[in-house]
Amino acid sequence: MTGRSSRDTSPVRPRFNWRDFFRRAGWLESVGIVGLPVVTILAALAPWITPFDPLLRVAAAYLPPSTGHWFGTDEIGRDLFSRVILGIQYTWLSGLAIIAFTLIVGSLVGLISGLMGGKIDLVIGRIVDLFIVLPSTLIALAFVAAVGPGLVNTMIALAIFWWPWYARISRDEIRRLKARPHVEAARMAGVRGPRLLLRYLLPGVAPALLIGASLDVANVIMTLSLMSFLGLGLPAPAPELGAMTSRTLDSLTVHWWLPILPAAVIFLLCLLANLAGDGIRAALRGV
Amino acid sequence: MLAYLAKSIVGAVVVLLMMSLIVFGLQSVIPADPARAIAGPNAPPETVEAVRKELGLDDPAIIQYGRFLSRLAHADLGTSVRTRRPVSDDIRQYLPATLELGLASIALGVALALVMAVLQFLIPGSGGIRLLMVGVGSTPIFLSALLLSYFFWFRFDWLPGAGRLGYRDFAGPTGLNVIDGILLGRPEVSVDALRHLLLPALALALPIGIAVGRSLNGALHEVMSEPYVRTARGKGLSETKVLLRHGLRNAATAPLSMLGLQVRLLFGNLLIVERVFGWPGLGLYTVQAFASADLPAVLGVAIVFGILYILVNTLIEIGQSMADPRINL
Repeated sequence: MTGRSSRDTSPVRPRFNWRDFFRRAGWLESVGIVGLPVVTILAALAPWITPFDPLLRVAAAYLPPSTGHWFGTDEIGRDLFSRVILGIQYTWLSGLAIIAFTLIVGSLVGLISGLMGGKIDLVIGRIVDLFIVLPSTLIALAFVAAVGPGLVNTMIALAIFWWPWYARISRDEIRRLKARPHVEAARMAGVRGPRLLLRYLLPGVAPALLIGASLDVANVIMTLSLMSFLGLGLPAPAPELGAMTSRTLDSLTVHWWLPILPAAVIFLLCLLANLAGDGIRAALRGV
Repeated sequence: MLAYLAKSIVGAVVVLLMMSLIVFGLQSVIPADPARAIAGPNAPPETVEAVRKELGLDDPAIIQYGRFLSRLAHADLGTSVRTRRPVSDDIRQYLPATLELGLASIALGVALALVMAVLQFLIPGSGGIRLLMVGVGSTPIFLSALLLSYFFWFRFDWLPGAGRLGYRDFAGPTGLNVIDGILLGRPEVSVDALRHLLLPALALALPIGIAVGRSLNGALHEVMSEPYVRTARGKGLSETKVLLRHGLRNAATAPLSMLGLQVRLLFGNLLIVERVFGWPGLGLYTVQAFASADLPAVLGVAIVFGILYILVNTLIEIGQSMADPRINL
């Protein structure tokens, strides 16, 4: 307790222990947790680490996977591995961007709703409920079909229907925390406003949001690749993973690697994200 | 019960109104000018203006929305740009195929969930099943559809990989081939329809089975440590009987909610699976509509799917209250 003045009422928190965190997460899930930043860095560096130019013809068409071209080549002789790496960049980074954006917007709305209470809470709650019961994927698809395909439009469409979940999580957590003794004690000691929010409420809300967000990464990636599969993402020459699969769908029986391998990479990304989500949940909640 | 019915109808109407408002808003987003499109590219401005007045495009938005709603109430969803037929006719033609596939995959998904949750409960701590569940849960729908199609149709040639029926010109009263085959006394048609149904329905059922199974497993673990389960065991009931009689029923609430969530995702997945398996339903119709920027068709399907979604969710809520009488409708 050194350095804590007698007027400081902030809760005593034990130092964060990484070894303990990974032990509770489980070894397989820890692979996912470590994998997330690794994939993010690889995705950010994608244009510099592709072995070949993803947009140019570099070999004969329809070469099966080999040591020279790990994923083979496509219908005009482009290196599929290089294209997939660039595709990971589009999918992964835009997925993370959607999560980050909706997490911030949603939890802000939830915080306001939970802190204010009363009529404001009721109105916001109704709006959130309405968004949650709407068949969101469908409306997002219709939205992109109406305003025109493209990565930005797809991201906007997804973001519109993603924030209410975080609003609900953070609102419920705030309501739960507000009644807890340490918050009440802090209030009685005269702590209020931003200090109350930042030091007493946010640390309690953050784990639930972090768990929700990490379990959501795979959902966003899946939905993004679904939209790209339906031709609503980036236009033709850009290598998007879902679109690469849908464009080569009919060559499944002849050149299986063209539709299967990009889809398999989406699977790996989702698996990694889901393992990480499970691990973070287990470590933070202790289930 | 009556109060619940009234409440759920009001809720459904609100959601439908909201959806219609969104669809109406999206319709007016399209950059193309419908009046110009009807009058022709070389028509003089006065003609375009006249057409605009005739279509009521100059009226305030609220009046246009009212007209849009009254058209919806008369099942008028506009004309498809691609097929040049009324969208409602197209939907009537393709809906039975999608209903058949959707219902089959929900049924198969629930069956999978039950098997997996019970297995995982009876063989506790099974890391294999856990990994399998995370793995299948991470598989994008087009990958599972492609793999099923590649192996069971192309490689092993066990099941048909495309279409809905091997018999041409078969048409029955319900439009659901499996049922029509039985109704018309042609079991061979039903068998063929089932064989066509199996792969696409399995692809759609896998994510449902995983998500609902995981939720059911969690709920079972909680329920099975309740005092009344201990009492049932104390009475000398076998573990299987306790599980079937007391466990499953009391654990049903959360997995049913999860089923509702999964049905929402099912609509998106239907598009993909129908495209991969060439299933002639609303999903394939929508994919083709995307490709030709056929907005009336896309929006029409969105409205129909929205209605189906609300129906399913209401049924699920009724199911929840039947499983647990403490839930007051």
